[in-house]
Amino acid sequence: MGSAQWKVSWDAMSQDGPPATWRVGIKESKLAFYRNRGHVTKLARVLLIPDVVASPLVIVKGWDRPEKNGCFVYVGKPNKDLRGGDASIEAGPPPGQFFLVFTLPDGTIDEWNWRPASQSDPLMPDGINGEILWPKQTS
Amino acid sequence: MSEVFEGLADKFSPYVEYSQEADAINVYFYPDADYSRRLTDHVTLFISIDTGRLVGCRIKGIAGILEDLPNYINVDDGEIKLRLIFWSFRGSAETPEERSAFNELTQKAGDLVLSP
Repeated sequence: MGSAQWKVSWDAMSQDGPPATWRVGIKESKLAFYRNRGHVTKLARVLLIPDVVASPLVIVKGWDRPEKNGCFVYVGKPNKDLRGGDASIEAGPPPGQFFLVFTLPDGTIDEWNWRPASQSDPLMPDGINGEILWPKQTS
Repeated sequence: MSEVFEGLADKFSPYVEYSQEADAINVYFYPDADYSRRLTDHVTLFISIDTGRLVGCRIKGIAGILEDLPNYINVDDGEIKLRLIFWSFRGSAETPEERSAFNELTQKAGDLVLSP
């Protein structure tokens, strides 16, 4: 797999931290699925992804499932939400929420959405419990 | 980035999206701008930012459910009615909130089917 199969792709911060990067992207089949069903907001929010994966607040290893340990969650806090058909409708970000980008081990992006902060740790999104790869944890 | 929107349908239609690589399905009943809220280890709800209504959900670990379901029900032409998947979670609901959510998901599923 690789960037050839993606309709759109971006440089993302490496799990080892900057300045290293790797490539992540979205398959045409996934975008076409949303286009065919008229899911405007899902597509508009694709435009939030580049900044989040390039400069995440947090990178988490795993999707909270043992078999998905090779996957990653990029966590960011964009200063806006996008909703319109050509991303022309801007709204403020949902208060207190993070924007999450879920990637498969090969960099394919599978899911993206907003998520509230955890009540026990306001610096993390709720329900994201994997190993924090970025920022580097000091022991 | 205009290629993202090329050929966008005029009208939203409810859907079930199956991802074999992610071992998950995404379900949307309505197109509202949403956020996600984790309900259980397997189920994340999609909630409308503006109205608070339930607009869909994500179910993780779907492969095991799909493997087991034919032991309990007849699966026609490989299609599984979405409401049966929600119903399969109903019995394990531990809180009134979970039971209410699964009931609402089951109602909203209508005739949507999953075709893995």
